[in-house]
Amino acid sequence: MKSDKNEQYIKDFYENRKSKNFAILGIIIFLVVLFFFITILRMDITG
Amino acid sequence: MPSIAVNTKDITKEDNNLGTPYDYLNLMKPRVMSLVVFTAFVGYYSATPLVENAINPILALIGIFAIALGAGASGVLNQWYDRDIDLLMERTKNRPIPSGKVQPSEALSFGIITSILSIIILGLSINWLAASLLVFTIFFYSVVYTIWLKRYTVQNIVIGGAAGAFPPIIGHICATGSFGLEALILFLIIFLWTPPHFWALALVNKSDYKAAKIPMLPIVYGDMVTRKNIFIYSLLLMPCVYLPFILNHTGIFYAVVVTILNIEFIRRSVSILKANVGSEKGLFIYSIFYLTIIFATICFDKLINNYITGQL
Repeated sequence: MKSDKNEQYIKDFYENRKSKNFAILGIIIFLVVLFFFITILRMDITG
Repeated sequence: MPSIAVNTKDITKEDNNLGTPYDYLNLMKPRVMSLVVFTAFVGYYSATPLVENAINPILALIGIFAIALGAGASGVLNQWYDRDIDLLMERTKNRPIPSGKVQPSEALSFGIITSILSIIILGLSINWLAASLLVFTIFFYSVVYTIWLKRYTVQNIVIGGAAGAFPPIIGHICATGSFGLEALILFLIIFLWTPPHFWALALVNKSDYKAAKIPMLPIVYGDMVTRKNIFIYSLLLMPCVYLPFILNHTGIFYAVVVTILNIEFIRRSVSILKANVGSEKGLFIYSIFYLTIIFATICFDKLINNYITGQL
């Protein structure tokens, strides 16, 4: 019984870590796109 | 605390408790954030006709996003520091940290990282003067108000109110690149609006502040002194909201709206002075409506003016 509970902890831990890593990846991609747009808009290449 | 060894690392309940994105959003005080975004936008929009070459609207949007992020970061740092007293108050005990949904160390890291990001984004997208003021605002709210004032002086929300009054100035700097009288007036309006707003809340939640030993005015000097101070600050606020009209920044429409709002504000302040039942909560809710409508009217007035002068 206790072993099942421990396995559940491990499973939850890895699932949480995976979600956190995906969230960080999403934020990094968002920031890359954001800084790209800031650079382009600051260059004022449209005229 | 049960713990098991996996890959030489101990996994405890705390490790599993990472919090959901919703918890992190709550940590950023979204209602305060929305008010900050709104007032910053008004500061920005009311200054746009003053400059020949207005900044790119997408850059302006990114700038407003950065201000929102900075406000949220301040909220996170405030909740991280206040986690002990938040647990003692009914109103705040369900916040993400005291309720155990987010770990304090996670909140601190989140607060610091979002603060730095907001400053960099604002500096790169708009200008570094606006970013510098954002740095000062985050410092003022997280350190000056939260750490130095809140627990030690009865004037905590009077001086600390400046933190909430900076966003229109940041918005103005985003549009013009410099300080301006228009923004200083908006600053003054929020600064004088804060004491009646928070003291009304303090009268409603007196037992909470007493439990957390926060020296709010009703706890230290009692209800009657608080009621008198609410009335005095309301009287000080009333003429200040006319300044945009007196200095020709807005038209007659603004003056009419402000007069109606002021009459109701004074009526509610007198009601508080007389200690009428429910007057404290009434003024607290009305004060939010009051500030929102005043700032919305400034925007609307500017919109009409831009339309008439052909700038729209």
